[in-house]
Amino acid sequence: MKLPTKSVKILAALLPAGILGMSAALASTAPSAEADPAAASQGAAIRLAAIRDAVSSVTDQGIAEDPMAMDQNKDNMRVAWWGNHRWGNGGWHRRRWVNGGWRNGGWRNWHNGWRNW
Amino acid sequence: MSNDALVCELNGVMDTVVVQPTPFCNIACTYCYLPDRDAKSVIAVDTVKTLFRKIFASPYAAPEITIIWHAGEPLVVPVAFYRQAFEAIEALRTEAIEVRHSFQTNGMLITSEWCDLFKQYEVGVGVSIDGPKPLHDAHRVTRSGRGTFDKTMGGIRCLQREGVPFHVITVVGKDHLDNPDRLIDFYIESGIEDVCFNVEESEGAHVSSLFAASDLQARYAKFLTRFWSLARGTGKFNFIREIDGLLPLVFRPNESLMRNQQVIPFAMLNVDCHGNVSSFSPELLGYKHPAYNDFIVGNILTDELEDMMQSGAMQAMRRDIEAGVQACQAECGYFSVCGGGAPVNKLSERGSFRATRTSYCALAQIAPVDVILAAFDRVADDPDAIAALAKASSAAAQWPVTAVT
Repeated sequence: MKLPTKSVKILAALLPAGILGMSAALASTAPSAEADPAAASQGAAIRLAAIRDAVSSVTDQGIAEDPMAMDQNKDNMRVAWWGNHRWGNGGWHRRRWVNGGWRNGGWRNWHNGWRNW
Repeated sequence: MSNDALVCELNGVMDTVVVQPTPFCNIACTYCYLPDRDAKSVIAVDTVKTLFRKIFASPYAAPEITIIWHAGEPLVVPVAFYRQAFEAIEALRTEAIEVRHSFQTNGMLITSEWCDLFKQYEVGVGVSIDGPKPLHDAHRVTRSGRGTFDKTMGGIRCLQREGVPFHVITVVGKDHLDNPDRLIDFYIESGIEDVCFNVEESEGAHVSSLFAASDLQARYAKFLTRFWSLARGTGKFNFIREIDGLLPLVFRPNESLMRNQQVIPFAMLNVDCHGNVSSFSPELLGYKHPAYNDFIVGNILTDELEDMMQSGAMQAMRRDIEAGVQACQAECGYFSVCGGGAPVNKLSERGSFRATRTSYCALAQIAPVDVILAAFDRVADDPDAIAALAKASSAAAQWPVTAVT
């Protein structure tokens, strides 16, 4: 388990970039050829809960914007895309982000939905 | 539970309606799970009208509803049908409800006339293509066994020419696992920027060859890791669903809720061309099971939605699916990002809605979450990584995006 403060620092750097930025940043940490991603599954429930704690801490401290407030930021569609989906409550929005929003199949993934479309 | 309590609990729950305009498909993929894809029945516009009149008048309708035209191949039904159907739905819709239409298609029949419809109604379009020609044509074939790649690519080029946004779904079989680089090259060469992977599943009568592969979860995780890393490195991909779709579920605050629409009654309303109604996993519509009335809770032409919710089939499915969700919650470390799995996969793989982990879970949920957690670990283990992370995320934020209002 990583120190929560470290997780908070990492998330404070990641969350403001939105999904696309976060995806790019995490993907840039190239694994070694022999790395086994399944090793990450140890204690998954506890680790996922710790991450949620850290995200709450980041948003509570204002290090990253409150995702619900981001929803009101109509000029930043990438950040809004993050916020528009109510952090996993399922999303659908009048506004569309062509490069990753509803029209490209992205919006619905904020909840765990059916994947055959 | 009283009927009133049930209605209150499920008010506004229905945000997805899957309509099977016809079970017929113009091709015969080797991994297809649809039992009736030779049948040429087509849903009547009057059935569509009845369906949406009842949905819009019901307490279940969400403020925003996505209508997915799906299974068999929706484009074998003429454009004129959809124009009629869309206009009818629009005429019935109240101001309080918005709808979006979406098609999942093999792309072979796409023409400029279809593109006009897609643009006029801002239809979400998903095209099924399994990668470069040898990988695609190995499974996506006509009834006579001929490959369909060239015609599907013809449809994709038509969408691109006409400026219709789309994403692709690639079914990952065992031959894909060792070829993430080849897939990336193909998508880039083809101008495909939004990618979803569906693993080849065991559903209905189809038994997945992928599921029989050895060390499958680890191999799939390595496939995803490689694809994600390389694809993001090119800067040419907008959306990689298996990762990008899970990030907000993994990195969310405590106060957020997670919703698995496949385990909630009527979150998805699934309707076949005869008006038969089902719920939960859409694939269930068309399957047989004596304990659940073949998963049919009623017929939209003769029954009210409120009565369907109280039907014996719905109650039996709900009882067993909820038991399965509770079992998942008790024993699976990934429950917080999954919410209880896919009922159709539990039934197909394990023989019961009450089951827990499936091979589908391992690939669609567990492996991608592991990939994300492993990347997060690499950052946490590297003292210089946070600064690099900030730089990388800042650079990504400069990528061009187009806002449409």
